[in-house]
Amino acid sequence: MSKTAEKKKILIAEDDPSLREVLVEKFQGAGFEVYQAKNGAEGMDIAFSVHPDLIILDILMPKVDGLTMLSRLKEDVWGINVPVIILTNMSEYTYLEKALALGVDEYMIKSEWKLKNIVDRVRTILGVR
Amino acid sequence: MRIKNVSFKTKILLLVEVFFVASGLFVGTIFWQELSLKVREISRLRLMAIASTAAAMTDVYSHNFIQTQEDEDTDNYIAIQSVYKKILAANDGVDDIYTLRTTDDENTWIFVVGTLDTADRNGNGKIETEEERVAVGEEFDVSELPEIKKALSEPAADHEINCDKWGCWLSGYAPLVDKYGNTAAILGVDISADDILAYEKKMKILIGSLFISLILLLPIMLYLFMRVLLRPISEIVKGLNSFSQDLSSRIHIETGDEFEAIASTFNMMAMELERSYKGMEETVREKTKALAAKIEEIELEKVKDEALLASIGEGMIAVDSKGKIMMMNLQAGKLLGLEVSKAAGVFLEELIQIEDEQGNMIGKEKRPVYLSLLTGQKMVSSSFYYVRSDGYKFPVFLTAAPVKLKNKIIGSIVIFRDITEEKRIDVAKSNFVSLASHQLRTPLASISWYSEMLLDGEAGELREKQKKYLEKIVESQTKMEELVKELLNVSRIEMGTFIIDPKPISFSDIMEDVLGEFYLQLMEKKIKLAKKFPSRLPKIPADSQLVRIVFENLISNAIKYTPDEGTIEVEVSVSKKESLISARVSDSGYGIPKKQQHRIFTKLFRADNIIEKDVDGTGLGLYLVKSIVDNSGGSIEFSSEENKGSTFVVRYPLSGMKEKHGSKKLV
Repeated sequence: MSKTAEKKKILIAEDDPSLREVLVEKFQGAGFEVYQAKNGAEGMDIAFSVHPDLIILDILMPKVDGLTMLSRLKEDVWGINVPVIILTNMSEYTYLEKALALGVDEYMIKSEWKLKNIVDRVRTILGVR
Repeated sequence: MRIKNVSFKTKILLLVEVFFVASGLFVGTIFWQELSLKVREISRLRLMAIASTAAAMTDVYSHNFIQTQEDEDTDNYIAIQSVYKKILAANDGVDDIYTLRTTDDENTWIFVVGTLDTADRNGNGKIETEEERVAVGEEFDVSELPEIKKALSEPAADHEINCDKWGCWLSGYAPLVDKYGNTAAILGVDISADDILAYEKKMKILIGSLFISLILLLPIMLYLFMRVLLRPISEIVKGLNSFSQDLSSRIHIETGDEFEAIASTFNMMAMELERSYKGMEETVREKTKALAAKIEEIELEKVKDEALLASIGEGMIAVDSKGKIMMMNLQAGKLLGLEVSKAAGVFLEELIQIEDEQGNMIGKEKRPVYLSLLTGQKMVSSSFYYVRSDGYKFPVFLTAAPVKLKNKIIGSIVIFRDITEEKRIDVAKSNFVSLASHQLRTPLASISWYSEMLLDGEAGELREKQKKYLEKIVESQTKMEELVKELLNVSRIEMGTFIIDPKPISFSDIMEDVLGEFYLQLMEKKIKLAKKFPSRLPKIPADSQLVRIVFENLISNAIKYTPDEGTIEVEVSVSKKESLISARVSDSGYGIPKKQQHRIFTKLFRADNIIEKDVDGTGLGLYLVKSIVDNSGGSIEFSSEENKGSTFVVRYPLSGMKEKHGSKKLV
């Protein structure tokens, strides 16, 4: 865990508090500047105002769900290029298909990924060590 | 040929009569003329006979003494004349007998003897004057007696009647021959023409009437004769006519001739015919009866079919090869809000609209019924919506099956049912799966991640015992995670909503991958692994995810149920002959008890020997494997012996898996 990594901004949109907390804690511990949103609407506000380097997005969220937020992002000049990781428990093919169609960098099933591996994957995508 | 209603018989008779009368008249006319001649000939012959008799009775020699008129009073003359007079008296109608003689000049004839006295020359009491009378020795004009010269050698008679002022007569002649054979004179006989004519008339009347009566009689006789001939013929014709209407009728002729023979031959033939016809009738009657029974049977069958079709819960529409509705059952009418009786003859697409989930109308050429008519394949779909006559839309499960007759598609039968409820349940199930997926996994992820944090010392260094307990929690969490995953897959399999998405893949590559996943476990249990992958395996179209799940389960089981230091053999092979690809997983493990082998693929089954050994397992793995293999066109078989090991072989055709649309991918 490099404390010297330049402060990359990541946004975590996750409605479940316990999952959100542990993710935030892990990424902060890994040296990221972490923004958090408890639903899609909040997520979009933060995303468009902060312009994070990467977004970790849950699908099933109140107000605005992850895939809607993703499609809004992809309509935006900035948003179209921001790396997005879907981190969800929805293993239905239809979600995966929609997400891939909109353009995501990774589609992760929560229970299949360890935190450490998620952090590693984010680092790889952002090209930081 | 048919002239009105005149029978053939009558026609023949008429014709023959006309012919006979005509020819009779013709022949009669000729005969009449001939008859006249014959009658005259009779007179001539009579004349000649009288002349000959008279000549024979005449003393030729004494004629020589009569030279002049003076000789008329001689005894000689009177003697000759008296002979002639006797002959004259003896022969009725004879007027005169006389003798003529030629002079030296043969062309000049002189009168010699005559029967007529001066006073009574013609025998009729008429007085002939001296001047008018031809005297003995006087020249006699023979110019009107053409036959007289003939009489120099033989008897002759004139053909024509001669007339003078005293009357008419016919002359006959005979030669008077002397003892030297020379004709000394000619004897002439005259017969009164009145007598001849009367005689002729009598003869003509007699013969003519005979002839006419013959002419008249002939057709009558002919008619009678024809009747004799024609009656049997008409009997035969009548018999034939009535036979054509009534086979039992016969011809009754007892003429004893050929007609009877014909009739009896016919009767025999008729009998034969009647018999064979009756036999035929019998056969026809039987066949008709059988046919009637068959028709009844078919009609009964039809009624049953109709009742069956009317009462089935599914809507049914039968269309012809052009898509025109031939029949619609009650349920279809009910579901679509249509009157069944008005549907026949209407094109399906004109009557019933079909839409997809998004409400787009499906074109005629994309409708399952047309596809089935076009391709001859059965079309099954659950992704269409029918639009009821009032505009209400409902999802249907429909099957369009082509109806083939001798390889020709003659129509299609669409069976459909409203699957609104099924769709609702499907959605509910799907929602449940989502719920299970999301709501169960979220806390599992939470447990996993917080445990990870603790184990990583993020909350401070853990004591050994704490660490050990925490690892147990993680272990349970993993099992829980596996269980959730399997439950999800099973529910997807059972709902039939899983996708088969075939892409060309290598079975051995996937097997290698899966073995890689289990590397740690293989190492831990010190299991010997033997791999047999041929160098060149064909890629076959298959869903890699499904193949992976199958292999994962088989390998995982092999590892789980094989004691430490056991052996696992994995082989992928191709049989070109059977056109199959097989994947075999064998272990030297605990095996499955014989008694329980038949239950091995059932859900939640766990073998007794395994439960005792307290090995982990959900009882879902092989059920899932079997379901996947069965649903994707493959087959699976196994052999096992307790405490010796088990072998599982999965086979797929080289053509691979068939694509299947659905909504869920297995994980």
